[in-house]
Formats: sequence, C-alpha cells, structure tokens
Amino acid sequence: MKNKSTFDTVAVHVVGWILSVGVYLLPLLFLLMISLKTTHGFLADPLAIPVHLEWGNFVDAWQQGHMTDYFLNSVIYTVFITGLSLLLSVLAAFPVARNYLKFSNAIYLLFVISLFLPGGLIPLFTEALKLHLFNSRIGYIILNLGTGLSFFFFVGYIKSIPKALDEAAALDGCGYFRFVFQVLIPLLKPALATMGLLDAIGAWNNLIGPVVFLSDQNLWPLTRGLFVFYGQFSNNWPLLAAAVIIVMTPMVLLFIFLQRYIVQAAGGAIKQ
Amino acid sequence: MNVFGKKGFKKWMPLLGLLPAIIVFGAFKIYPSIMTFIYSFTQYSGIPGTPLHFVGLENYKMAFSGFSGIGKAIRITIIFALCVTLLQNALGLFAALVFNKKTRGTVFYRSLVFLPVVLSVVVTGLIWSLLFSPIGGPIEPIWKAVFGHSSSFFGSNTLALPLVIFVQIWQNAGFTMVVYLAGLQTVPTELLESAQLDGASRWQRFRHVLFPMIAASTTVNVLLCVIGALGTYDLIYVLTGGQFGTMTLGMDMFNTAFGGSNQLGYGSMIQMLQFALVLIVTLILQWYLRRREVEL
Repeated sequence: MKNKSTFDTVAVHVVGWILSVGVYLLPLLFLLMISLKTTHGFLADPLAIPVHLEWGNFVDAWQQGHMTDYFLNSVIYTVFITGLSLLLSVLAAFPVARNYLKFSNAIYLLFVISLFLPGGLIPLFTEALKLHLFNSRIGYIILNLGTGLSFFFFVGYIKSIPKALDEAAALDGCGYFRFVFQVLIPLLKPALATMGLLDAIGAWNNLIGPVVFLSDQNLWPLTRGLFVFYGQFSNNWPLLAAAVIIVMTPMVLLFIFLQRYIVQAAGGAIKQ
Repeated sequence: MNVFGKKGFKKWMPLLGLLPAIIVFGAFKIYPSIMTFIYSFTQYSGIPGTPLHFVGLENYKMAFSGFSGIGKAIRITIIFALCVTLLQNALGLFAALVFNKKTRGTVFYRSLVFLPVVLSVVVTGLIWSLLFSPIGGPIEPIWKAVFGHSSSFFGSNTLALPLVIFVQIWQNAGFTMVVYLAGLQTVPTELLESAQLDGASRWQRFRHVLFPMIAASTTVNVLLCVIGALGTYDLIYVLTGGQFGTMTLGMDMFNTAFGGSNQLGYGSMIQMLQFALVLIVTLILQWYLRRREVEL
C-alpha cells in the first residue's frame, strides 16, 4: 500500500512537470529569454541562452510601442468599465431580488433570454457611429458597459441577505438609495470583488472592442497597441517579446496575488 | 412591496435605480441582437448617410449558392469546435484528476495551467506565434529534425488549423480543469474508499464512481466549450487572420464586416448562421447531457 502511494506521488509530479512546466511554464520562460537578447544575438543563434542580458529591449519596446499612452488608456477603460458595470448591476439586481417592482420576474426573464441572442457586434458598430460613441474614450466605456453575469450573481447574493434589514432601515427613515450605497454595497463586498475581478480581466484583455470601436491611435489600450506593434516589428522578436511581457505583467501579478479569488470567481460564476 | 415608500416619488426609486441598467442593456445588447437579424436581409455599408438596402433573402441565397466560402466555413467551425471541446475536456479532466490530490506541488501545477485564462488573446497569440515562428522559433529546428522538412506552421494550409485548436485549448484548459476540480471535491471520499475495498480498479473507480458523480461539471464544461468554440474569432484573428484554412464562421463574419469591404448585411447573415449553429448544437447537447445526468 505504501509503495503504491509513493508511486502515485511520483506520477503526479511527473505529469506536473511535463504538463504544467513543460507545456505552460516553458513557453513563458522562452519568451523571457528572447526578450533579453540583442537582435543580432537572436538572429545569430535564436536558441542560445543570452550571456549579456539586454534589458534595453524593455525600454525600447515601451518607448517605440507608445506604451505610456496605451497603458493609461487600458487603466482608464478597465477602471470605469468595471466600476460602472458593477454599479449598474447592483442597482438592477436589488429591486429584482427583493421584488420591489411589479415586473421583477419579467426583468429577470429578459436578462436570461438575452444570454441566448445572436451576437450584435455589427449593428453595435453602426449604432456607435450614429450616437458618436465611435472613436471616443467615453463612448468606448459606454459601449462596453454590461450587467452580464454579475446581475445574476448579485440577485442570488442579495436574496441571501435578510429582508428584515431593509425593513429595519426603512423604519429608521433610511432612504432607498442611501440604503443601497451605505448598507447594501458594503454587505456585497465579497460578491463585488468576485465579479469586479472577472469584469476587470475581461476589460483589460479585450482586443476586438478596440479594433472595432477605436480608430485613433491615441485612444488605444495596450491590447490593440501590442497587436499593431506586432505588425510593425514582426521580425524583431526580442523587442516584440519584451512588449508581450510588458502587456502581460499586470495580469500575471494580479493572478499571483489574487489567484485564490480569481479561481473562486471563475467557479462561482459558473454556478449561477 | 417596496418597504422604502409606497406612494409618491419614493415609490419610483427602485425603478429609477434600475433604469440605467435597462437603458444600457436595451441599447447595447437587445437592440444590436435584433438588428443583426434585420441587417441580414440587407445590403449595407454602415457609412452614415448611406441607405439600408433591403434585398430579401439574397444574402442567404448567395451563401448557399456554392460560390461562397460559407460551406467551408461551417465545416471548419464544426471541426474546430469538435476538436476543442473533446480535447480541452479530456485535458482539463485529466489535469483535475491528477492535481486533485493534496500533495506538495499540485497547487503550483494547477496555477500554471490556469494562468493563460487571465491573459489576453493578443498575448497568448503572440507567444505561440513566436514559438512557432519559422525564423528563429524554437520549435522549427525540432520539427525539422523529426520530420525532415521545415514548415511555416501558422502559415501552412495543413498545420494552421490544428495549431489554432492547440492554442485555443492551451489558453482555456485551466478553466475547464477548475470546474472539474470543483466537481471532484464534492465526491465523498468514503465512496471511493469503499469502492477500493470492494476491489474496484483505478479505471473502474473512475468510470463507475467518479465520472458519474461529476456529470454536472461535465455538462457545464462541454456546453461552455462548445458555445465558446463555435463563436471564437479573436484568437484566430491574432494567429492567422482567418487565412490558411482557419476561416470559421465568426472569423468570416468579422472579416466581411470589418476587414475593409464593409459588407455589414452579408456579415450579419453570417452571424445569424453562426447563431443558428450554436442554437442547434446547444439544444441537442443540452437534451443529451441532461438526460445522461439523470440516468447516471
């Protein structure tokens, strides 16, 4: 019996190294290695481990890729899209969860049906042109607002909060919106963090949105900036690898520090 | 009833709060969805001031006339979705089973497999474009040594589709694994132990105890995988732009509408075909998987 469990442990590590390290970590390490080579060094021998570490690639990629502007845009879009989407979702989920409106069930049903509708990217593009939301920061934020999964998640979460709390607050003279902002939202913190993480990851990583809705280079976020950078420097892999690492680093850091919550969020979203 | 006020202005506060969400939802979700259907019967460039020119079923007729690439795109979409769903679930389930044990290192292994889920398709796409680059990529010399000839990988008519399938799985398998892990954790250990005591082999324990117990996770994973794969085009856009036999319906829709020719009507028709495909496949799968869950 003891031998068998030792065998199991070894097998786990063998699979772990082949799959996780070999298929997942190695490509990332290779990317890092390339990013530290000089262009000449890369062309002379792409696979050699660099002796002299060329950190300058990161500076060059940052400057030539206009990363300061793109980075700021990415931050602005992510913060506003996430924050406003959460706010909309809470304000929509609360009355529906509590049946404070006559047609609460109809609204819930409408949100469910919307999950099964055809994609609307093309009409959304013409709509953006007509409403002057095309090629504008505010427009891009508005176009990307969505209640999506968080609406269902919050409805479920709010239902677990006793309604007696609403009644007590109302008796004490607390108004509707004051209740939402000062009582409900603090209580929803774990749910807000969960959905906020998912929204933020989605907003930061979005490529198709900026390609369709932003034509002015000054408005691009990192994703589109990187993609265009790839088109310009498709043969300069050291520079390109450095750019890729710059763009992925915020998400990797987020993942390292908030991994437990991200995985929980992914699992929690599924249950809804 | 609204406890915060039953008459006058106070009665309308919940509605006031709901309104922004409804407006955003209606304007940017419901309306575009319905308009996709309407656009699919038109010829439209989308340039402001140009008319929406109704052509009836012309776009659909053209698609099935044999001169369009739609038949091929449908075939590629189905191959892509089928391979991704089967392989990603196999890999995700395998990883979940192996890393389910509480041994040192498994947390690290799981994290690595999950990491690409939080990365952008541009990042994943470029990482694999670099690795499979015919000039200076590390895989090219290995490939040459094994098969005796070079390949242009993402620029090859035979290899591009399998490679795109691979990258799609690489990016998303961690998510599938996490869903399976959550399912595995609900299986009581006593059940497995008693099966083991009864002399059930490792395979029998998996086949007759574990796998039936996680049927709900399988349903979720298969459905998410299929729906996702039938609509994917962002990763393909980065890797091949739809060239070299990777033009799925989603990619075709995107290229037709935004690839320079501005055929928004024809693009909307492709979007409707993709929607119909998702609807049919989902309904069949849902019916089959739910029935299977009950039987198990």
